[in-house]
Amino acid sequence: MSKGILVHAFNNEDINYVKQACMVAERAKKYLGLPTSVITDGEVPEGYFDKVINFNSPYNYTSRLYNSGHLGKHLTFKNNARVQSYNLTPYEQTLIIDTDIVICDDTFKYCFEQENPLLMYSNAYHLGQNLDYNEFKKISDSSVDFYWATCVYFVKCKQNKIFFDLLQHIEENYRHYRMLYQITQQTYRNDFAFSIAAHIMNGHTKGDFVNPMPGKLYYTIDKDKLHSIKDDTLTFVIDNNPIKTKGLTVHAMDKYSLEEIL
Amino acid sequence: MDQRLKKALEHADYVTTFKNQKRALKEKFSKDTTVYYCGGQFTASREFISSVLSLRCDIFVDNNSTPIEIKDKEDFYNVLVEAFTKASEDYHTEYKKIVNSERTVQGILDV
Repeated sequence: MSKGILVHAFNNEDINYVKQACMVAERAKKYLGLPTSVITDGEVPEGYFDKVINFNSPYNYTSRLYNSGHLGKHLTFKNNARVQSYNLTPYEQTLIIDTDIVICDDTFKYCFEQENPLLMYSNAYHLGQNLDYNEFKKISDSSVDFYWATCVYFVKCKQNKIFFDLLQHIEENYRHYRMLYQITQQTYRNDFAFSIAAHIMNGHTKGDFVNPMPGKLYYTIDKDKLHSIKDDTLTFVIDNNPIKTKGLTVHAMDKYSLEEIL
Repeated sequence: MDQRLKKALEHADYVTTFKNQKRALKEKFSKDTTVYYCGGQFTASREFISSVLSLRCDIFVDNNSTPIEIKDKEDFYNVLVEAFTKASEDYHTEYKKIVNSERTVQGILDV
């Protein structure tokens, strides 16, 4: 079966997601030995990607707050192509990852060596000291478990086709599902759509329709600065304190500091 | 700034950075002791390793509660031992480096 990485890269006013996608493609090749395809609505440089899939979204774009350190700015957020991943991927076995994932090890390759057709992270670990972000546990105070759409491994099969069709339905009717699942945030968010779909596919309860991704998802939030990337060594500044990781893949959410480094 | 306070704050920064680095090393150890074998995910701990060859059963329940059949238990054992030994040695080596580094924030980061 063909296998590879799929990234979504839709630039906005400030953030060059395509540049980040190139970083992902380079590191996926180096650490995982896998090709990367990109879904985008813009131009991409040659030589990085296995396939370039043009997608001009028919939907209205949303807007979200991008933080850089302690400064915030509302920018266009084009995130509704992710639910189309099943139809757009050129691979039988696909790992979708965000462009701000800095791959530093080969943990992701074990997705392709196990038998479960759908994997996502439900737990993630902040690199800061003892920080516990409740917003990443449930999608709302009285609602269902949070799944990260940041990294999604799926195989082309009947059940995943149903899952992704359901995701499209949720995305199109997000207002209804936001009310139903008591989500306070108005902006459409893929994490919420995937969490809701997982809950529905589990028979409206907890279950193992979605299995855990290998290893742990480490993350830093958009207020944490990525200071440097040197091979598999990353240095962050979190609450004015530095922390250096080696050989750990990290989801670095501060797009501005990532962009400065690239 | 009062020099006594300045020194105390510098030390506090050092302690925070030390704790951060120790936690990063611990997470690395946790990652390195995770072994993927026959489609299952296992943690190579002392307890688990010592139990692998002691039972006749070939079915092992992995970290995700999935039962995995392992036919070559000898090889599985060796993989676990190798992962655990290397992870422990790396953890020890890197920990010693930060303990023996200059007792400043920069000292730890320069390791």
